[in-house]
Amino acid sequence: MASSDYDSSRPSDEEVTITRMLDKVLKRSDAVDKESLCILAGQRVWHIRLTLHFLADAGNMLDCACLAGMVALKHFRRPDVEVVGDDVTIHDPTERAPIPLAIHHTPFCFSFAFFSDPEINPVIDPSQLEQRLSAGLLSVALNAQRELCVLQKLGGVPLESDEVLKIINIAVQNAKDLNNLVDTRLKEDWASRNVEVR
Amino acid sequence: MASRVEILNQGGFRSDGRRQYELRDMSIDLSQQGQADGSAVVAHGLTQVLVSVFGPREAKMRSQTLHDRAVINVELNVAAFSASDRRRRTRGDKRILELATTIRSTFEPVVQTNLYPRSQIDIFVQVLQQDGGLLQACINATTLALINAGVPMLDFVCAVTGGVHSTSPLLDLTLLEENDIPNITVAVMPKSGKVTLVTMETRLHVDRFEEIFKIACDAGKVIHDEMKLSVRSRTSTLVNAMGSGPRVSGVDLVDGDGDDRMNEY
Repeated sequence: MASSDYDSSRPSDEEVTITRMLDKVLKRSDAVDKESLCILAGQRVWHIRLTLHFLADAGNMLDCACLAGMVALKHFRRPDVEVVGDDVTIHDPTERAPIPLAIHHTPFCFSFAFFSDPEINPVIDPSQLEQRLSAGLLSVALNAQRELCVLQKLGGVPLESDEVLKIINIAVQNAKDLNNLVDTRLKEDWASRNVEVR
Repeated sequence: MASRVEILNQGGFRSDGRRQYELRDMSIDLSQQGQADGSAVVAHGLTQVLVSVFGPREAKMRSQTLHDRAVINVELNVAAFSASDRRRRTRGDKRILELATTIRSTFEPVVQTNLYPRSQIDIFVQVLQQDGGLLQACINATTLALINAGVPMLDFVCAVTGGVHSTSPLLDLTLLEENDIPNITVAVMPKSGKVTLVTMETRLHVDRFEEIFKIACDAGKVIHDEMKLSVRSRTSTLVNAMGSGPRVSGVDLVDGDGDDRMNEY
């Protein structure tokens, strides 16, 4: 659905890259605290399923997907559960307020496209045209606490080590701004859902 | 699960007896393997990888050729006996596909593909033993195999892994260390010092990353020296075997007809 280039029969190279990157950013970086999902040790646990639908491709689907995934996980509320001994009672969301997932940290992904002409600087968040014409991509996932979660530069035009560090610093600044934006929007949404019953 | 083995002890020694910045023993074997145009068996400590290169040759499938350059195909096969637990990986395993794509995109800008339009270069990577630093070994072996095959390249591509244990940077990690500490893989082109590949899949603070990144880039040059040495020695072996070394004879090698062109001997 995202674009005429994508064929649903076999995964293209880009699809494999995006899937692996999402797996690393959302799952392997331990963004969600998996231990808190346990209900009864060795018997019952919450299973979280995150599905991403790519509706339109205008370039840089990876960053968008990571952001969507993280915000969805932060936005999600699971039913409250009460454990007494071996008795597990799952409370309906209408009875007890559902509780959010325990999120350790929020990784955001930033992709930079760079070109074979050394005169052109790398660009952040490439559009469809820029992505097609680029000679390489550098994706960095990091959180607002200046911790790098995933860094991926898979071949492409070689860069100086200083350039790589400069790019990472730019990503650090953007991560802070994006984190503030996400927090603000989530707070607004939460405020609109809180209904006072008098 | 905390490791029972110390990654770096008080005396500055790691679990396998190496120092902090010491690289593992690197063994390179460039002898011919089967029908391949070029091949290399590279071992970093216990990690061993065999790479065979076929090409540039006529493309098998016309539909996949490019009109102005050669196509590079990489197939990666991880032997079932390579890891400590025997496990047969299917061809479509995402991790293996990702590694193959990584290797391909690393060598695409380095190999001079524009010299061979409508051809293909096949790289078959076989992982024989895994003990950490898999991507590093694959890239180093691929570089040597391509050189062995005589495929023109812009420069070597030398890869090395690095990690940070609390605040101490370490180089060339084994499997034990890789599973425990944040680690990166860096591939550099030694002539220009530029970085072609950086991957990191574990969380690491930006300042720590800067440190290990710079050190790993320098370590790439050390690997380069090792690789150059092996290529030179292999070439001199071949030259001596073919008997095409410099001739020492009583006859003066003078151009008889004075036109600076080849003389018929």
